[in-house]
Amino acid sequence: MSTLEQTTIAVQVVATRWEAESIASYEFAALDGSDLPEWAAGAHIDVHLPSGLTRQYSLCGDPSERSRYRIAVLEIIDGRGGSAEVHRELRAGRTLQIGLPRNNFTLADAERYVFVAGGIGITPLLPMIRQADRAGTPWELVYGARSAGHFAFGDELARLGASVRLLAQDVDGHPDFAALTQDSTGAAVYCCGPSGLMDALTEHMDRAGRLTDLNLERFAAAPVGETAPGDGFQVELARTGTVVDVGPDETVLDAVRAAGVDHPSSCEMGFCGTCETKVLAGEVDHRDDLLTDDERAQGNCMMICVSRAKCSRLVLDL
Amino acid sequence: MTLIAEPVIATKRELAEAAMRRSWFPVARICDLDTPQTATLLGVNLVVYRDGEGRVAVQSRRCPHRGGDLAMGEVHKNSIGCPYHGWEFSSSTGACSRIPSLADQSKIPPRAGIASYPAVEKYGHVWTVLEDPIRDMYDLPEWEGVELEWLAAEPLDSPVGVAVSIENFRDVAHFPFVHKVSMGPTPEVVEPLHVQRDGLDVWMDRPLDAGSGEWAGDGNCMMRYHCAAPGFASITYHYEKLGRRVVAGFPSPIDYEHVLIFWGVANEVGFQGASLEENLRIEEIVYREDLPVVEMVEPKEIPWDAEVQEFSVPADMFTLNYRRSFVELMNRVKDGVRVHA
Repeated sequence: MSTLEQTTIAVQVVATRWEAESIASYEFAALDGSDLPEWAAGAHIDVHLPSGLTRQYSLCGDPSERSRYRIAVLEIIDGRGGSAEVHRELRAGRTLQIGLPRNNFTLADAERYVFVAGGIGITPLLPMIRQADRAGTPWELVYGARSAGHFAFGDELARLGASVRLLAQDVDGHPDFAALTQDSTGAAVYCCGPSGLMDALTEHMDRAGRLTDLNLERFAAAPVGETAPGDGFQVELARTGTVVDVGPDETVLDAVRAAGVDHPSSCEMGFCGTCETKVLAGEVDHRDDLLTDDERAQGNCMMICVSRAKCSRLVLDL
Repeated sequence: MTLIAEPVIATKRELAEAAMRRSWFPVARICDLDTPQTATLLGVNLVVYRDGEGRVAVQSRRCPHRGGDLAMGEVHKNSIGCPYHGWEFSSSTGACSRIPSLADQSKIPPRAGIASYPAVEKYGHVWTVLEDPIRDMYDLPEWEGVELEWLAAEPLDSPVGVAVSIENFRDVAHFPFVHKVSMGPTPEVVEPLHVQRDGLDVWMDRPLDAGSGEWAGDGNCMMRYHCAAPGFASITYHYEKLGRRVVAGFPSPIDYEHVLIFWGVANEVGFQGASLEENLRIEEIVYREDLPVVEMVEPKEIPWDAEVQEFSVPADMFTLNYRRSFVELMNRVKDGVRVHA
């Protein structure tokens, strides 16, 4: 049960701008000239592309500017085609449909903020930074990109003041996550960027017992099936003592089934939870979409259709 | 590792039922308490009434003398009397407080009493719990500090389990099929759902554009879908122009595969939109489209033990997260209580 809803708005591209190497920004205004729905920092929209593809992009303009939305898109040449289509097709004047803003990455009140951006991950953080700045809350930004030419919105950030640290990877290397974790004590940390960056920061924050201070925006679900599952490892089936090898291209589910264990599964893509299995020992490399960060941190269960091991042997209640 | 003797592991179905016996469910509408009300919760026959001093009681319905139905009885100042021989039972403790046929009231059999259960008045309903609770009464953060005025609907009978009923309330992919009459054409493709879960609570925000439907002209609005295991589902509509309104459903298990859906609507005090009665009327039209479809689903409750194969898709992310929160509730039973010990 629920209610009738209309979820798209017809808009026109009213401006585009080259922001950095491979990054362009696009401004949309409603076709009928009316104000666009309100949004808050961290929100994203669906963009329905001319080919029928739908992609999600963070809004990176100013929420108080009601007549326009702005997104910024990094062109990924070998990607799934969405960003390339944006760069190819979205020119000023083009009309298209967008979804209403949605937000699962909101800026909660805090005494102080530390923002950590990697590459195009700056987009959801930019309005947050502006909001923190307007509220007079102390903030810092650590912004990493491949090279000096890859920083988007450099001039806007420069206008926001001196709390911005730019790290060009080819010169400055990776951020010092240990120092970042230490220096952010007492602050809420908001991070968006490549999964390697977010995983590294998560690991350091976890070690410091500060996962609850960390807020992440992942642009895509952790890749499933697209990348090699990783190295092989072993699982021990505690009920029988059997030890099963899990090959690099094999799932735990397949391996335990091959060993004669009858175990339920359904989606086999890590979101339905049917194959959830209790973990008695070992560290899990969680790759599902269902468990919360807290549940991952507890480490006492896993979805064996996609998740793997960070250690050489897992002991499962099977 | 060492293994102790293999424990007898209860089925998830048994855990689900045990978890519900230790969770809060509504058993009557507050507005019906002028007379004692009949209720059945997980096979336990109950009477719900307000005594002469205003205290609401939830007690077992059978008179322990000769089985009279206390829901047909008479309410006194702080007791209820059996319609058959007039035995009276305390509204606070359930102890027998008077036996009219007995000359000497000190001769009341000391163990002749009825079971008493907690009674909480909330969201237009009386809620109770059969056994030692493993969760608190439902209390939503998004309603904190919001004064809501409730209108409890006529309960709906539905021969399915609590979780199937909640999932219907929470499902977003059935609109273009089940609600094509009330809602008109709606998109079939479900956008990625951004579901959040913390313990027993699952929620997500979705924008509502007033569109051209029944509530056109109300302006834009954010909807907070919230549900909590085992039996609570609500939508809080926060309109930019009008304020907040709520629709909420609380299926209450008569038995494991049969619920009475208590439900209602609420408006924030000062809400500028439609009246409670009007909102209830429209939500009921929508709800009544669901019932004939849902009551035919097989099996009648979620196949917790994978006894039937089901396949899920990302549009099910909300209900899948609800299932996960229900499993957490089951684990509370398993960890704290020796089921089948």
